[in-house]
Amino acid sequence: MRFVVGSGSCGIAAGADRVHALLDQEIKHNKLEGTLEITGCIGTCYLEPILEVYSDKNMKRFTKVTEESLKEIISEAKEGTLFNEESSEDSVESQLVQQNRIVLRNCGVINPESIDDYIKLGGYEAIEKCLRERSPKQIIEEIKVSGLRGRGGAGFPTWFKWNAALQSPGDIKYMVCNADEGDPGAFMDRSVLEGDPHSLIEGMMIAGYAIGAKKGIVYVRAEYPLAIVRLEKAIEQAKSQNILGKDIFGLKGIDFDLSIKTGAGAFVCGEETALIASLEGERGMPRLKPPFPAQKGYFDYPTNINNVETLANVPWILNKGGQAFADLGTERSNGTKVFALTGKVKNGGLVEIPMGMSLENVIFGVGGGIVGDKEFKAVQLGGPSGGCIPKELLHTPVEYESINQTGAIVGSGGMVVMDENTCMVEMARFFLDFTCKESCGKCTYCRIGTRRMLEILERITDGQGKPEDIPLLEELSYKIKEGAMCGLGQTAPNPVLTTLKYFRHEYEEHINDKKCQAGTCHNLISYHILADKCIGCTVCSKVCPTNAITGERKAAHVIDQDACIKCGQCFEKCNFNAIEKS
Amino acid sequence: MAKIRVNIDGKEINAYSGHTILEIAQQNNIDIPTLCHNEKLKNYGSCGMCVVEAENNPKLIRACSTQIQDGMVIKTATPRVKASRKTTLELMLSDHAGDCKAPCMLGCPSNVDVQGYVGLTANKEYDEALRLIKEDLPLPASVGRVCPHPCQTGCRRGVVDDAVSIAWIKRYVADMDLAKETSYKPSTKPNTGKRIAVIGGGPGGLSAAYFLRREGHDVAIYEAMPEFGGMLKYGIPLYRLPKDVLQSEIDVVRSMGVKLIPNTRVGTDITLDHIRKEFDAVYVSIGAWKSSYLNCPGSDNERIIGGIEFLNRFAINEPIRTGNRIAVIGGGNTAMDACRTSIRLGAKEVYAIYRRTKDDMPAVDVEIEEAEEEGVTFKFLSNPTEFIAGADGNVTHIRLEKMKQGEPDASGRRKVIPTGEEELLPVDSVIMSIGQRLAPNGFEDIALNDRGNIDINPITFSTNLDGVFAGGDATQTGATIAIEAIADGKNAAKSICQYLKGGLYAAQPLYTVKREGMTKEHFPHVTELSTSPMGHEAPELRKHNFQEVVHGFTEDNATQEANRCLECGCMDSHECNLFQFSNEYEVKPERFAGLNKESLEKHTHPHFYRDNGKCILCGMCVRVCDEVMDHGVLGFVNRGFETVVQPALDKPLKETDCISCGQCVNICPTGALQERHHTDKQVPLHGECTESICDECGMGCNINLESKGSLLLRSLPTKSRTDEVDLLCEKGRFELVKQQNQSRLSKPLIRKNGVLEEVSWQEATLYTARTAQSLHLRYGDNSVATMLSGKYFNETAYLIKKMANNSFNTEYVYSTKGYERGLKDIFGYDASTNLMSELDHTDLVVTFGTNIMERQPVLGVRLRKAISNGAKLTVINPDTNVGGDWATSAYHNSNDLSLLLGVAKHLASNSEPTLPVDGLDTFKDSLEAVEITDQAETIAKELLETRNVMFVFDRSLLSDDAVMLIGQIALLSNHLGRPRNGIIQLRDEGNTQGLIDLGINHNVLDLEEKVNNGEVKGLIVFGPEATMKRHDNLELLVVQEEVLSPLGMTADVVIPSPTLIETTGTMTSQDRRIQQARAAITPNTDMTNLEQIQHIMNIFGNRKQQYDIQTLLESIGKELPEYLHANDHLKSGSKELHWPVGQSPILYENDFATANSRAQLQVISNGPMYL
Repeated sequence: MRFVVGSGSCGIAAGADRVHALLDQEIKHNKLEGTLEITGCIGTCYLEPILEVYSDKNMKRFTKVTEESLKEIISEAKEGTLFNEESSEDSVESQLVQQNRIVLRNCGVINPESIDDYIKLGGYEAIEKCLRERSPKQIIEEIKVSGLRGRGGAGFPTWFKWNAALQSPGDIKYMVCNADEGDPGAFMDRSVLEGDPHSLIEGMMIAGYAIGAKKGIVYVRAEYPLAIVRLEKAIEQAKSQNILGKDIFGLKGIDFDLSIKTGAGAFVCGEETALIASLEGERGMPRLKPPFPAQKGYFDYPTNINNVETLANVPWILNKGGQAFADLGTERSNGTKVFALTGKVKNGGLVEIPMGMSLENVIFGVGGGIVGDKEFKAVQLGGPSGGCIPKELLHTPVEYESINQTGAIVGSGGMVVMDENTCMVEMARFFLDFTCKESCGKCTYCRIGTRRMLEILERITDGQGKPEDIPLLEELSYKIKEGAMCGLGQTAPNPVLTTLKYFRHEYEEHINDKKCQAGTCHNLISYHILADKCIGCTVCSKVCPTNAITGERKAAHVIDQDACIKCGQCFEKCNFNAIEKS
Repeated sequence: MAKIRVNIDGKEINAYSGHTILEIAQQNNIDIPTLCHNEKLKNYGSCGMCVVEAENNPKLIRACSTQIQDGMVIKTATPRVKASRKTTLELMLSDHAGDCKAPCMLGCPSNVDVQGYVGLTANKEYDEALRLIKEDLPLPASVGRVCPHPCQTGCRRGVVDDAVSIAWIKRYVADMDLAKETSYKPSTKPNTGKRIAVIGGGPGGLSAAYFLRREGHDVAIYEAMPEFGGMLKYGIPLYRLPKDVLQSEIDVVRSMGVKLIPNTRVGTDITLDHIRKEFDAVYVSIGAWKSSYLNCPGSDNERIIGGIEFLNRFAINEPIRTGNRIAVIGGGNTAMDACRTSIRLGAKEVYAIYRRTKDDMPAVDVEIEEAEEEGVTFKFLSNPTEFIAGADGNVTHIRLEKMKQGEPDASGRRKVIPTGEEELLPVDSVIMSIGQRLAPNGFEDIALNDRGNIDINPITFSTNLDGVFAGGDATQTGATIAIEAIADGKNAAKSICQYLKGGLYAAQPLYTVKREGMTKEHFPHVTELSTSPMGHEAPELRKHNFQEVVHGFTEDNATQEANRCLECGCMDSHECNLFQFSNEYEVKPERFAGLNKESLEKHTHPHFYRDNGKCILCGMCVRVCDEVMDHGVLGFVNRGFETVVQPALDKPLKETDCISCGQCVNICPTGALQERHHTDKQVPLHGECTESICDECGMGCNINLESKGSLLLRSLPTKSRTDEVDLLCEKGRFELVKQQNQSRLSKPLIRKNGVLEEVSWQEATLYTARTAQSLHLRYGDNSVATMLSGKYFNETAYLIKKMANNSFNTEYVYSTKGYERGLKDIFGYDASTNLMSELDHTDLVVTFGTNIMERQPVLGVRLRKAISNGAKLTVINPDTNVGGDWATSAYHNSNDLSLLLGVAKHLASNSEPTLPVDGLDTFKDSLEAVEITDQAETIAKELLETRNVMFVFDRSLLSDDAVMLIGQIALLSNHLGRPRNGIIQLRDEGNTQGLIDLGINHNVLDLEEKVNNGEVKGLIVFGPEATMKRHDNLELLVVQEEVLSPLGMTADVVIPSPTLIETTGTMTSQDRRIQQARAAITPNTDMTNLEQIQHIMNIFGNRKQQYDIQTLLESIGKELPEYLHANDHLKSGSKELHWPVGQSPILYENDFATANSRAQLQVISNGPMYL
């Protein structure tokens, strides 16, 4: 029997290490027969820890494994009864059938720490074929046919960048992978790094060969320790098999070296030029474009930068042909896209879907709908640089152009689902707070402009908003988009602009009526005890952290509004619906 | 680079590709603003000011980084572009803390640079203070006496203790000027031929006339009264403003060429129509001369006199009968003047009747106080309701109604409400002083506003009549204080000038960043010090006469008081780009008000301070330190809005690698990095600039001296030639200023009874000359020696030498850095063979025993640049640490010549010198025993293999033998006589090379010997060295110096020396460039160096010969062929002059300057290399 534990960061966080340790102990002490392996995240993070048990013929998948359930599995395995009954429903499988996995093809399938696993599934065939049979130009042509666009956020045609770097004169060029995934709630790249690092290496090698770079650097954020370890291992393995290094595959003069650079987790370092500055050891601040990295990049050498997901697509495209990729998706957005479904969605996790699937299908189909079956309100696409899309636009197909039209962006694939209890002003404030803090501080519009926008939003959510704040927010938004230097600043106002576009009334309510319908803006809500319903059970007064609730036992209690910090604990705890939120 | 064509703002431009839009725009005088771009630095793009629009590009593009492309159509000033820039500025300003201008200046209606003149007064620069005042205020002595000084009201010192007594300081400065034989007369521009009539000779009219005259217009003032001064003359009593003070100031206006036409009333003597026909423009400033009257029964009594009419009649000596009990109605300054004048006229009881309280009185406090002191009875909260006349028609009683205070009104002032309680006050006469009105007779064509005053456009001062402007009390809301009328006159003058050019000037209110809500807690470092006392006439004495009450400050009072200034206004506002753009773009940043960083001044450096509150994060300081200086002292800390510029770990700057070059301060576009002026008081000033040369070392750096009066404000780097970096080291940039402004000798001293006493120039020179003469008589020739430092200019040094030779009959002219042996023995000249600029393009630089970065940082930076451009640096030093970090190879040798001899030996046997040489074989033979070490061989081989090599050493650190050996190595390796090949000798002082050229090269050691053995009995030292001591054998020691030195203290005569900043002449740099230094400030010594020396020489000689710099330089040229025609070149403005004048800057291209034109190789045996 083969035991495979899902050991991505999400799995480990859910307890996969414990599962692994217990199994390991059993096997080591010969109490259990079988081998123990790990695999990456399969995407269904909400079901972790996941354990797959393989017999010669069968595979059985256990989700949300606990110590108790594991003990049961082990005893069944020992008794040989594990495969006796068919599992009634495999929720992982039902998730996977709705997807189309190219980037994540190996994630949760292979052991990410085994190059052999990768090779067994056709790994490194594409690069070898490229090196032996194809010219850089041919490769770029193939990518052009595939229609692959940058998955980091901007959706810029990949072949164009490669071609620019190839055309750029110079003997020394660099191939850089941007693994500085920074959007809050997005973890597609981490998953690939943790679950299938070799596909990234292969993608980088192909790209490196195509542009004429003999050196590659992966810029990973230090907050991804597991990804770094797995990537390091993968690089070591590839080197030891002469896949990386000098005279690759025995081909004279074909070299490619790969190194890892860890970044200190600054959001702005996802911006190409800031990333380069950081690579060079400088403060991570964007530089002016032009010159573009393809002309003058890392230490002024021509440099091509692609993100992890983009590169993970590349071996597949070279294996299956650009056309196969182009056949997926829509006219202008080809292939698939991985999304990190988070927020108030039932099946949170990673999903890879063909471009063009409607938002509705993603959220309600693949995602399984809203937690607690509450009302869907909006979905935020593209993280802090993106925007929110309201219910009326749920039919929008997920592809670059259509999403852009809504004011949001596909971005790197963060998809935060919000229900009726979300205040959209607060949501905009949250994202702006993020960009404001992550601004590098270089250009005026971003440094001070976003700060001023944040102050206005704070004012509004605090109940201090003024009618002129809305036009001022709009003016600042447009000016910042127009005047900021890099993508961070230019897109920072998007959450505000889209919420203003689709939920303007919420702003107006906050300002004019001093009301927050979602009930999340503390200064705009208050809690009151309904004397006729309160039986004086004292639960609320006990839970109140500021002792704002007083009252005799068995008599109606009262909340001191000055002392109340509106934490809402009393409201949650009251069993008699005696506390009213208004 | 291809030639392409672009269109910017409609202008077709041919340009080369590869340039940015900004560069092309600048080259074509198209103004694109930027706050973060500098040609010295890489493109950065943070500020967002340089955005422009390009056709077919939907985005705003940054001009600083976008390269032009063929066919590009660019617009630099579209509404969209301007709006973006404006918002950028507003955002920056919303996060900017400080005061662009001091609150005192902003408080003044005429925006007189109060902080400027108060600061100048603190620095004892009274003349400059007056000049500054007169830029905005023509009548400072008068205004300083009578102004209710809104400047003082604004003064922030008031939150600490008392406001600075600004008006009295102004009065002091102005009085000092008037007390002079000739008072300051402001300059006037050349005549424009335009004629302007000013109607009304009061403060407003005089002001307009003054400013219009300064612009070169022909101005006449028509005055209805017999004398000028308006209300200052006829409304203000003499005890406040003596007649002669006002008259003197009016005389200055007259002396500038303003025609004053008295006794001419418009409407009676002349018509406005006529004036309009005769003149190109008219300014009406006729004041408000009619008193207002209360609207109550009896107030129309003809015997009730208006306040202003009362003062007026008194001023023109019309008899006024007032009686013993006088009631003055009103609480303003005029009312107080009427009260106090009544007292002086002998009234027994004077009542000041005011319907509000004392706190509400519009009169200035001091007036009220003084009136009280003089015995005026105040009746507050008393409202006249009826004036009751007696049988003779005269008022005998006033019915007063008691009032009480009510709720505050909209302006915050508490209303008064009647109580019904009444009082009947018996009086002999009543003066009604509740306000003044315009008397518009004669100006019927001019439209009035609903208040009955002349209606003007408040920004342009224009009236309904074309070419007729008006201002002052006659307009708008009516009568107010003199300085308001003066401000109107000044601003209207601008408008009229514009009108004469065919437009209308619209003055925009100045935008300034202000610090609000300051409290005492903001000034923890300020010790309380109340205002300086001011002498007053005692009330008992003064109430009987019209003598001026206030005495005025003494000098000590004035400077002490001025020193109380808190220096609120930004020191950099005169050159702040943010300030300039903010006003250009008419910003209104209030809507973005939010969190603003605190202004935290960090005083961690002796020469400048950092104020992050004013930082706009343009990063230029960070970048210039890193990119230009390669130091990286400053960096960015934190992210987003919290980002600040800081030294690493927020260390004090002085504890970092900072070399105090000041580049960051120079480049900062705002006041975030400010220079600490080395003056008593920091003052934001716009100084005059003088181009000169630094004398701190032999580099000969060009400096731009910014001065005000006798204050040196700054020394700034300047590029005299294209190949120079505009950079100075700490010495040239800051120390020079510090030295200049320190307290220095200004009078000669002679030792009398063992003590140095101040004497006259006559006495000092006579004593020196006579004593030297007697020494010569007693001990013969050469018994008196002179010595001078390398800071003396060529002309001075030449004259000193002449004086020594001819007057003192001595050959002994020593230099503090004299070298009798050196390169001269081999090549003919003791001089660098090439220019320093060639170092930029050579392939290898070899330095010997010197830490260039420390000795001459500017050269060090230059070398670093050369290295970063690919040059190699070989360093041979006794200490491994020195210069090793940026050298390509470093050799550490002990203090002997074995390594260099080894190099020479290898060269001698492996290379033939191409230039003519004598003594090669002897030299080779002498090296027989020398060992060629591996190091020596490596060095020698590198010299032979490298095409261009230059040798650099500090002459004062090496032995004569070492210098000669290096010269021979250069010769043997054939790195001589070619561009980018040769020797640069560093010199200690600005003109050490010039002195050597003049033959002043005797070694000081030799002098010591001659003093010791009694040969030299008298010594005259010009600029002593710190270590020198007086020897007992000396019978005469004369020292000329700037500050009394230890040697000076032992001297018989000390002569004060002017500084570099005060001297004009030429210096020869260490690479033979002859450059002109210019005096920026008049010497405080009364005599220049040349005058002093001539003074002494004249005592010797019968002929009084006058030498000037030009003839002296010509004489030098006649004696030294290398300097021939140097004077002509300098006169024609040549900035790139070197000797031999008119020849190649590279010495020994074909032969040498020795007697036989061949190099004379010297035999050098092993000995010490370093001194």
